[in-house]
Amino acid sequence: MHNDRYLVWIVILGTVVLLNLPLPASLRVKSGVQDSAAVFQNGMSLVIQRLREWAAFMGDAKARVAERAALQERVAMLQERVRELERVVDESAELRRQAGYATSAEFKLVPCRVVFRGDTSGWWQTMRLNRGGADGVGTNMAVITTDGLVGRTTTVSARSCEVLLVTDPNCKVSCRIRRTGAFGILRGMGMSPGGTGRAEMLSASGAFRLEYVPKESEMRVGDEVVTSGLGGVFPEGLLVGRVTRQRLDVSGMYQRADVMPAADMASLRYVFVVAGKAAAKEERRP
Amino acid sequence: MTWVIMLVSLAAAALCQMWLPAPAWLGQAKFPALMAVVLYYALNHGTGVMFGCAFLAGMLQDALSPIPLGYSGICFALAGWIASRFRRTVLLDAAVTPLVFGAACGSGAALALYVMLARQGLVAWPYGRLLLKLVGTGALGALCTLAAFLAIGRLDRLVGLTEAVEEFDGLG
Repeated sequence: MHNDRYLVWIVILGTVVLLNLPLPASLRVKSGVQDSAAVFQNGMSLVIQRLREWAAFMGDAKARVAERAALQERVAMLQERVRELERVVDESAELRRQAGYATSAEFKLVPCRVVFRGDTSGWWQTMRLNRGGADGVGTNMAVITTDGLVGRTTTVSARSCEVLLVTDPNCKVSCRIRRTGAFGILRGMGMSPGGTGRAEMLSASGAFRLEYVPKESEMRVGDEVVTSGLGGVFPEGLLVGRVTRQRLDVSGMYQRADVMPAADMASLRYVFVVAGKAAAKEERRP
Repeated sequence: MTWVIMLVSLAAAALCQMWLPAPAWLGQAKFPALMAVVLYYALNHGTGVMFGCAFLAGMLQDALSPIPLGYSGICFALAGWIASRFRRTVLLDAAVTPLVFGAACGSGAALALYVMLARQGLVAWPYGRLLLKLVGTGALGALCTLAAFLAIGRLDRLVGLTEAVEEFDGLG
């Protein structure tokens, strides 16, 4: 009974300490737990992936053999294409050098595997990646796929990082319509990473909403929405999605649009963290 | 041994909570597996052990999500403490006990957590979706509390902890 009483006081004290921890200390505690959990998460993620692949292979072995042959043929073709492109790149670099241009700007990308999606509480739209600070990933870095923007990194530990998806209402991105250049603020509407949009029928009709677009600017269904580069987190020109519906907002001063994401949020397996620019921006040397 | 079983259960529950999907049609409610472990210790062990379990479970949930440290611990401890008040008045072997406590405490703890997070401006959900999530958390809480009672109860019996607790209760 006495032990119980001591334990209760220890727990109360511990909770008070946790609640009042300074932010850096709190982040260190979180990183410690996340790094410990990352080992199990990575292991489980790999095992599940292998099981899924094995099940898919066993399910249709004959088709897989044919697919393998087709892939071998395609690899041979692509190898030839890579050789051709390497020659073009060399040629291009030489021409740029002669014309006095700096090398073209490229993003430094860190390839990551999605370890799991969603946080333990379910209040946010997040996912965890298998790369962290040790691999050059930092906080507030853009996360993309080859199709478009996915989100930004929030907490980063040594071996993993958490990504706030653009579908989360807390994630706001400064964007512009590629065709007209009109600016707006894109906000997530809480679409599930599962992607079907069923729950959003209660509150929203699209995965994103583009707000504060000047009412004078023309906007059409199908217009591409890209990041504006303002705000400092997301590099300029990343494709976010396409307009599915547009109308005036309640104030009548701005337009708003429903936007569907370009990236397939339902099947995110591998993504890239944009860890800054790999080279200087393209500009003519004086 | 109680603490070893508890730590193993919490680790397994945290992994389950992370991995099990959050269905969109239940307002993206997560299986409250950590809450279920706390409820098991609230109804089957002493108050101190329950509070310790709530603290560890809360810390795990907070560390593995964007929740500030300490918030979930308070919600779990509150839910566990309320559940432990009914410890001597409920049938622990009946399946309906974990189902009812899992549903009530799952929804209650989720609501308390939402209020704390909303006061800090960290989340803002429309009422419709919030209600759906609370109902979903209650439904999933009932299921996973039942599963937790069966699994941890079996572990406790395996290492002989259940008898020890019952003897202690008889003396108390």
